[in-house]
Amino acid sequence: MTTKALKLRELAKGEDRFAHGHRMCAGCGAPIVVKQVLMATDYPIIAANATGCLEVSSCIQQFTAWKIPWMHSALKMRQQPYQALRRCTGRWSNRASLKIKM
Amino acid sequence: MWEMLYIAAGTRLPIVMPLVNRALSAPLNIHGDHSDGMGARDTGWIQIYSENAQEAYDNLIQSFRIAEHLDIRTPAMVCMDGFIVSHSIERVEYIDDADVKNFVGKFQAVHPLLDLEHPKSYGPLILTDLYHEYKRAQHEVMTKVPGVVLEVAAEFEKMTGRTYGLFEEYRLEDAEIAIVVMSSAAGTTKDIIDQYRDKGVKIGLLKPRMFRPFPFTQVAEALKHVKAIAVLDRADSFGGYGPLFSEIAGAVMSMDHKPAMINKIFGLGGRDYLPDQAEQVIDELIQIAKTGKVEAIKEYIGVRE
Repeated sequence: MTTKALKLRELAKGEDRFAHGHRMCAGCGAPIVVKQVLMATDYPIIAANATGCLEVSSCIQQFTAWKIPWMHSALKMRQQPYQALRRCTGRWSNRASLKIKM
Repeated sequence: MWEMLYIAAGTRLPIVMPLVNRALSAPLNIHGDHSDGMGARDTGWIQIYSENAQEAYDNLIQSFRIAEHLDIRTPAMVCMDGFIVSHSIERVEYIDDADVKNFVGKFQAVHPLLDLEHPKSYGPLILTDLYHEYKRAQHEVMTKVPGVVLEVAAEFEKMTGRTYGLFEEYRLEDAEIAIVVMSSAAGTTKDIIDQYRDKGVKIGLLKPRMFRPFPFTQVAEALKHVKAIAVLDRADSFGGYGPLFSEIAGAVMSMDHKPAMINKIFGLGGRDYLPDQAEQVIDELIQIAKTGKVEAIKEYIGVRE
């Protein structure tokens, strides 16, 4: 994974992976950040979301705004889901393991 | 920590967790009683209690099949008494690794989070418009668990010859009085029941194995002919009856002729459950069956006064 300079104008041409219709307030910066971060990533990405405004507004049963794998665990859990995912994805250097049979 | 149990069940994660039952502080104590398991009874987990090391081993192997069963997909805890079973030496019949692997089968991931091509969201917020329905669905799932537990037990019996049900009945068929007790204390109780049977007392035992979901109707059927029941709880619900007593009272509610019932709290914090405590309970039951009079419904036994 390398970091390269990105131009916002170029970035905006990328795939939008945070669906419109989420319930964040109009004018809120958080969904814009999420949208642009996702546009800027071209490697496998999974989100672990701490409880908060973004979390409760972006995934309300039975809808989700997330077009990437996303998880939230509990009010008190911030780091744990992230750490668990890191452990699981540690083996991702082997891309073959990504292909999980449904 | 506690809400994580609810989250595991609500997310329908087929986790298998051995629970070495212990007392809860304060004051600090980690010896065997059922305080932790009973505290977790409403979390949505399946709970299976084991009498001895053999049962703990057998129940654990079966629990993978139960929890992962695609009809239910619900976490299961396999309980055994802390120290009394967990730190004792007992003979156990092992099953060959290959047979266990074959019996348990391969884990099948359903909607895995790490599947990038089919992204899933886990752990949504759910509001007042749907939470109630979601929990009702969880209740429905629990109603399917007894069938799965029995199905897995039948297959396990084919492999090992060891029989498991939703609960164990010991000399209960023609009993006039009965003791209901879970886990290791059932072993001691069976010995004392044998002694009283030799003296002509018609007493039997019911040992719940699956505590969650609780098999109300089957338990009521098994106890319908007894005149008096003593329910022994190795945990207290302070200010209420013992948790097992409440379940048995719930089961008895549907009977036409309700037996007299008493509740004994015993063995907290790993306090030994001794044969003379069982004898004391049986003697009281004999009196209750004769007179129909219950002096105290809930009482502690084995207490140093």
